[in-house]
Amino acid sequence: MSTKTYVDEETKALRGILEALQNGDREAEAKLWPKIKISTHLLLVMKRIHGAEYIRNNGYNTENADRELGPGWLDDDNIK
Amino acid sequence: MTRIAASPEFAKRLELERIALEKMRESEEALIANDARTAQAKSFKKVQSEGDIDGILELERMCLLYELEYYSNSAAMTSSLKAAIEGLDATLDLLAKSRNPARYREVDESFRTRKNRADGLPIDEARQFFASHEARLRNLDKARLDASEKELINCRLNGIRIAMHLYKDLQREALNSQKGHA
Repeated sequence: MSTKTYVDEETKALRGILEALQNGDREAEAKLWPKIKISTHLLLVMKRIHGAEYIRNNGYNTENADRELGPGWLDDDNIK
Repeated sequence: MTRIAASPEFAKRLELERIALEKMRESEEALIANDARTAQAKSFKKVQSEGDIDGILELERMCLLYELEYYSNSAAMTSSLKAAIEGLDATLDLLAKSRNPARYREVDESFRTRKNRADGLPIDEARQFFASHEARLRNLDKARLDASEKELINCRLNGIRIAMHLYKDLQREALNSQKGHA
């Protein structure tokens, strides 16, 4: 009998990303990241290294940064 | 480019762990564990406010036994916990002696050099335990633990400090009454 109860979508995505990482499946990984509400910290690291377009094109969830930095943060060159 | 920003790939791996832990903290089980820690802290605070040194040490000993039995996951942790329990047991022996001036005189006489005494009192194994256990608990406050775990650790730390003050009073009493008989 399984004791596992409810697993939400985000948790499923976390598991999926880990499996994709293990398999070196970049495509599967890229599809799952948008389902995760990632931190402002990670978003800023990606903005610095890959640029704003990368974050937009890959559909990352920017909710945390929008709230913490204000909605214009992605295109504001002063925010890095 | 700053070096710290060099790897979004690594930041993603940190992020996976952080989010999973955040979800765990929101689980019903995590909330129960938090409340259980608050209840433990309440027991600690009770014996502390009563100045009950035996109670403080008894609760601390039980915490250490639990940690050793159920939570130790490295040789270093096991050896640190065993050292703490040994120190605490030595403290309980000395506590009994300190309540008997004649018996405590023997302890006092075996700590003669200046480096083993402070304010006229011997830095006996109990005093050594209080100091080393305080350091042990303070180090835990630097580790990556939940807020409720740290709250409990601070509570235990407070207990050790109170117990040390109470023990010093007992040492002083034992040695003063000894003078009276001399």
